[in-house]
Amino acid sequence: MNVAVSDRPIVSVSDLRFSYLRGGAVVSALRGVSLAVQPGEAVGLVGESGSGKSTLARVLLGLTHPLLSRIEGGRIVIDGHDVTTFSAQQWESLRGHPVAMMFQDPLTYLNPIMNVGRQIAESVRRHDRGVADVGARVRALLGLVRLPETVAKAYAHELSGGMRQRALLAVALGCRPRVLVADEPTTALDVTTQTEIMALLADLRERLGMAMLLISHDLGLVASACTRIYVMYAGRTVEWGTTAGVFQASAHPYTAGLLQSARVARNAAGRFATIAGDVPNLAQPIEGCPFRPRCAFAFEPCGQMPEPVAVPGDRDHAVRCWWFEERLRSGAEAARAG
Amino acid sequence: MPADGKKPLVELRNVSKSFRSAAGETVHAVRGVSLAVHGGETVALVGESGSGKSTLGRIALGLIEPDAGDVLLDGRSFASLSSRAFRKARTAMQPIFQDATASLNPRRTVRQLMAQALRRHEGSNVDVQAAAILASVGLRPGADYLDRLPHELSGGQRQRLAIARALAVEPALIVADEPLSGADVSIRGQVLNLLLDIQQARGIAYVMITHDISIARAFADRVAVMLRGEIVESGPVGDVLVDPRHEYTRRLLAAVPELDRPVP
Repeated sequence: MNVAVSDRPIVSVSDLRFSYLRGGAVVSALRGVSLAVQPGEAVGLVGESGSGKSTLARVLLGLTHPLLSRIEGGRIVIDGHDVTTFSAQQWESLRGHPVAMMFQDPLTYLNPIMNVGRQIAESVRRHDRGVADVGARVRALLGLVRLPETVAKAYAHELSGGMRQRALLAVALGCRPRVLVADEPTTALDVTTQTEIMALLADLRERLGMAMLLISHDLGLVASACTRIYVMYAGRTVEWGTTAGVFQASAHPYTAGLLQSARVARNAAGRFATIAGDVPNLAQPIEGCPFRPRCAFAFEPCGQMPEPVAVPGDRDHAVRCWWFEERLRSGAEAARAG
Repeated sequence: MPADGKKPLVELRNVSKSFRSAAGETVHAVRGVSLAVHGGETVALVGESGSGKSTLGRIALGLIEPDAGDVLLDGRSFASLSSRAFRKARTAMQPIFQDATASLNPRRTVRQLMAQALRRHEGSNVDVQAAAILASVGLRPGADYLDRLPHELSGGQRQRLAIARALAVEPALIVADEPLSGADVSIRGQVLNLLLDIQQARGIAYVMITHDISIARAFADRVAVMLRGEIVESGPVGDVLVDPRHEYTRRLLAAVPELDRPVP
């Protein structure tokens, strides 16, 4: 699945399983996630609420509580380090560099009583120790995110939503990350501000050679920013491939339904596309394909989770769906017979 | 539709509203806006945060009194009504908010929430009425939901409950303020279809306040684009959102990430 053999993925997750422990209950939020991000690449991760996409982001940054959650299986490798069993101290050495994070609500992550400049400086001192002139580096970082130098003296509450997001980005970049995990970075912003932030991210990725894992529920946003995409459902990656491949030839019925719904158009009968039913309860065990209860094509084999199968036409494109396998098989048989 | 010359259901005439900000500055949220909504039609108010669209929606609902201008319901000015008559008139217009969870008291059962919306005391008669309304928004059988608390419902079900509560007083107009921005993509279609069904069955008019141009385009008959407290462009969706005249509308349209325009 790797783009080039010589490239070692900067982030590699294989069959990751992760649970939250709530009282006596175990909520299995991740039930088998596999993905890879190559250096410099922009990868999208889409899914609805409860799909586990934000949980994955937190696990990737080691931001989960060791007593209230646990990794049940699988492996996470970041820049060659197997971090699956990392302790809090070990995480501290890795967080920021090579992996940094951008959140939906910068106000929560910026210190309200420390000015922006000091927060950027703190990030530089902690993670970029070779820097002699921290003040100059802070000014350079503000320039990089296209904020005026005067913002260094400002506090989070004095800034607009778009400026806060830029300030938080400057803090993240202070660590010189090789990959930025951006969890819904523009969801709280207006569309015109969103356009500016996304253009800035694209520019920074280019200039800094930084990879990005963009987590979003907005398929349009991911389509416009990412070359590859993973679709998550109920804690599993169910389809992945190039954005063009997945969007133009979606193989999983869930992806197809999601795309139809995201187009917000009425059909010939004047109706909007929907996916019937609700997402499954992750506190309950799920037998087989988690989409089965909502799937119009479910049949007997769906009682077991299928292995990934390659989708022809795009070497990065794969899906976990029995119905797709069945279609492939009958298509091949028809071709042989014809 | 407005073309038949019928008088509007709700009419805003040159309304303005200012607020004092925390810093003591005067913020002109709405500046001399006129807007008419006719029975059974859907008008989308689009714009970015701070454009005044939510304030305008609240003025139309009678929840905020404008500093200047007039609001007319069925041709009668709010200002001319006694407070009693005003309270009665206001029930003809119901809000639906973005965050269904926040607008539902978490300690009340669905039965209590519906009884409150029906403005009645609980009783078997309320149960029957509530169950019928719940069923009409797709919570079937309605009676099965009466003893549940809001947190025992899914996000989509809570949004349906919020809609059911708005319908309980048989309003002529529903002002929906970003009813879908918290909803998942797959739920969005369900809610929009439900709103279409309700409109068809009851002839309710909608004012849909949204930042999402694609929802306005697919759902509304007419659209008004707001910028800094003013309507900069309005008209049928097929005109304004297909061939926009105002520079700002063009920018808004260009900023919508298109699914069918993936990275080259």
